[in-house]
Amino acid sequence: MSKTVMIVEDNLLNQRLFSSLITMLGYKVCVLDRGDGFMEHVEACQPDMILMDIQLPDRDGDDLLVDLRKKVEYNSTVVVAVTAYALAGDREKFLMAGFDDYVGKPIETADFVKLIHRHLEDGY
Amino acid sequence: MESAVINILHGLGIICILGLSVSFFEGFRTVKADTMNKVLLGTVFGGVICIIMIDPIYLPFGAVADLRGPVAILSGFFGGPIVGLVANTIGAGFRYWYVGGPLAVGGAAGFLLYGVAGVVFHYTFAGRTSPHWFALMGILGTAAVLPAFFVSADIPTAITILQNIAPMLITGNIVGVVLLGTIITRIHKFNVLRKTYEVVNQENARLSKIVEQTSNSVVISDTAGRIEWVNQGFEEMTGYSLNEVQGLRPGEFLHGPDTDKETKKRMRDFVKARQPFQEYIVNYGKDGTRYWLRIDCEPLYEDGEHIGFMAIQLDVTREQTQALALAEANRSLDNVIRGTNIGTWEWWPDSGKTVFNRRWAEIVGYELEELGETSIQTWVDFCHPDDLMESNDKLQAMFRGETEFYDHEARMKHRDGHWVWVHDRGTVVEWSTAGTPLLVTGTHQEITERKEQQQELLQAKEAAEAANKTKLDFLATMSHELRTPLNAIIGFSDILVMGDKLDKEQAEWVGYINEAGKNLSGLLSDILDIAKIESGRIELAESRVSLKKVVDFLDQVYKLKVQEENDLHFNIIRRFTCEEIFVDEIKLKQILTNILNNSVKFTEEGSIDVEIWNDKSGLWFTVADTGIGIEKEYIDKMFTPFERSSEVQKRAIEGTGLGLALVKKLTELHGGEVKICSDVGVGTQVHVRLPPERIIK
Repeated sequence: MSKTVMIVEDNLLNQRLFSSLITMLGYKVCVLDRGDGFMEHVEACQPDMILMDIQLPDRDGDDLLVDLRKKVEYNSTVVVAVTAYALAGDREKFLMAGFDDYVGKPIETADFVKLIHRHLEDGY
Repeated sequence: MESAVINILHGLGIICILGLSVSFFEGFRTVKADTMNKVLLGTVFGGVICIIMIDPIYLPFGAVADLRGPVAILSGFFGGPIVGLVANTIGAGFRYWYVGGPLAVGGAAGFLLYGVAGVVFHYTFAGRTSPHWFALMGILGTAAVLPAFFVSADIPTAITILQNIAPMLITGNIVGVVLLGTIITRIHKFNVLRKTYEVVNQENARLSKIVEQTSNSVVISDTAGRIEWVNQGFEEMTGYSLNEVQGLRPGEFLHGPDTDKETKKRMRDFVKARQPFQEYIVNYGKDGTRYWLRIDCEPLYEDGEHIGFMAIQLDVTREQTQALALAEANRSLDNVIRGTNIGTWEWWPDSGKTVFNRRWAEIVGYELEELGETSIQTWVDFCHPDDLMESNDKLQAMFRGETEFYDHEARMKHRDGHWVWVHDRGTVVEWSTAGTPLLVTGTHQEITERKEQQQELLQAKEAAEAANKTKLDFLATMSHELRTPLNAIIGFSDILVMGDKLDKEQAEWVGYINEAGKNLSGLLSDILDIAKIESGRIELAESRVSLKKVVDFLDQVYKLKVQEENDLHFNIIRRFTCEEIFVDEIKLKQILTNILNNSVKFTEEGSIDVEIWNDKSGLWFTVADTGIGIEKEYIDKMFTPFERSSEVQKRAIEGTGLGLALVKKLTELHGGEVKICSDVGVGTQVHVRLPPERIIK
């Protein structure tokens, strides 16, 4: 059974980009464009990995991560920060906040693809 | 009659001897021996009375007459009750037992009356010692003794006796009292004078010694100012001996070129007018030594006649030199104070007394006189309350010895109502032994204009900082907002390139879109970094970093990229001996990747070599390429943001022009430097040097 990647992203173009790439890689995709209803959505699509934008219209990605980790069953779900906060030091900041990995926008497509593979094929 | 005269003369002779012997007793007088002395004196008086009575003139009815009266009266007058009592008791006894006769009792009683009269005179006529007083005492004493004649004779007998005796009695008593009284008085005066003379003599001897031996020079001259005598001090001071100068005027041999003419003239005038004077004058010694004298000159008088002058001369060369130097120093200080237009204050904390100069008052718009009696309260009244607190704190700190100088800026209320700023400085110039300040002095400098300028500068700086922060915030937001659409541009163009739906030409174009997007992304980071560095908001996050790991990182990232994608030779030459360095790892990588990216961008064929080594000047990274190079005149401009003037590079590839500017700033943050050597068509070498302190081991 193929793995599921959940994309939390409010920008429509970027939603499309990430869904296209992940679909091309052969994974299932579910999409959410705001913070509201995040946990219900997770319940519904049971993702193996979440690509989390940080600046959402209603909530911050950091807060959503905290909500997620409160539930034991999602402790091992891979959560990657995908954000335009891409200045020196930002990577460290997000890893410290508990994200499993970090991708700055604009993405290096090749690196991004490698990252997805690495997290989903290494037995997670 | 003849025998009466002889008898009187005899009595007078004895009285004279008594007078002389009284003087003998004056020498005995001490407090302790006073009573004894009086008894002895009384005995002498009594004894003389007895001698006088041995050979009296015998009169009818057993009456006798002699000169006992003056002695009996004056014993009490000069000696007081004790002397009077002793003398007259002896006299009475002698009269009664030795002379005897029918009138013995009356004679003895007469002595008692004489004694009483003398003691009464002692108290009533004390100090009245001129002859007419003595004559009066003789008359009164004679009157006092009259009742005694009626003691041992009946009245007719007594009257008869009196008629016989009266002329002799009254004459003898008056002459005797005057004579004896005057002799004793004279002798007494002589004694007093002699004693005074002794004291004066001793004093004179002492004074002469002082005058002779004092180091001051003393000159005695005649009325015309010619020297009569000089002391040893004069000889030592001038080098002239008394013999050499006698008869000369001091001005003839002591004055010289520096002697003030005016002073000389004044002194001559004083001498002419015989007036005392004090003058300061330059004199010259025999050997030419020049010295300052203070001359105190007094005219000398003897019995009201002017006999000359005495001058005491003090060598005040040192004092005068100091005084002149002090006056000079004061003048310079005054000049400095006037020149710097500075206010001054002197404060005695114990009394609160405070003295200001003219300028101090001027600063607050007053004449010094208008401030009246000044004290520390004057300052308190003028000073702005907010600044006064801090001023007090600083002064207390200085009084406790925590600071040596007081330095404060304060506002003072100007007469016109506005505030003026003063720079108030001072220090304790005198301490008590208990360590409390006795005198504090300082200055006030008006700095209103400077202070206002400072205020304006501060406001301008704050405004600039606020503007800079706005700029940074704007750039950060812009960077963030631009990344989101860029993500779509780069991402989708990547997908297109990865797929096989495009023909060759289309793939190339999409490739351009992709590359432009990536350039734009790099530009966003660089702009923000430059802005941060320029506003001083970037700080190094330094740590111990393994140099080998940094070099390995370059190797990994660029080996594939340079060799495979760009078809260039890529070499890393490791010639470093150090292991650890102290740097901001991310920024060091940023420096090196920026240089390498440039090299890759501008090199079409050949090689890119990275050489790393260290020597005592620090740690060096050199990136050498065989690229298109930079014209010499543009090399320096390469470090200016957005400056891409090089014609060669303009033609080659579009870039931001921020890379090298960022490299330079990041290197300088580490205390290092960047150098570029380049030849057009041959290649470029970029050298980065980090200072030796950055090398740990």
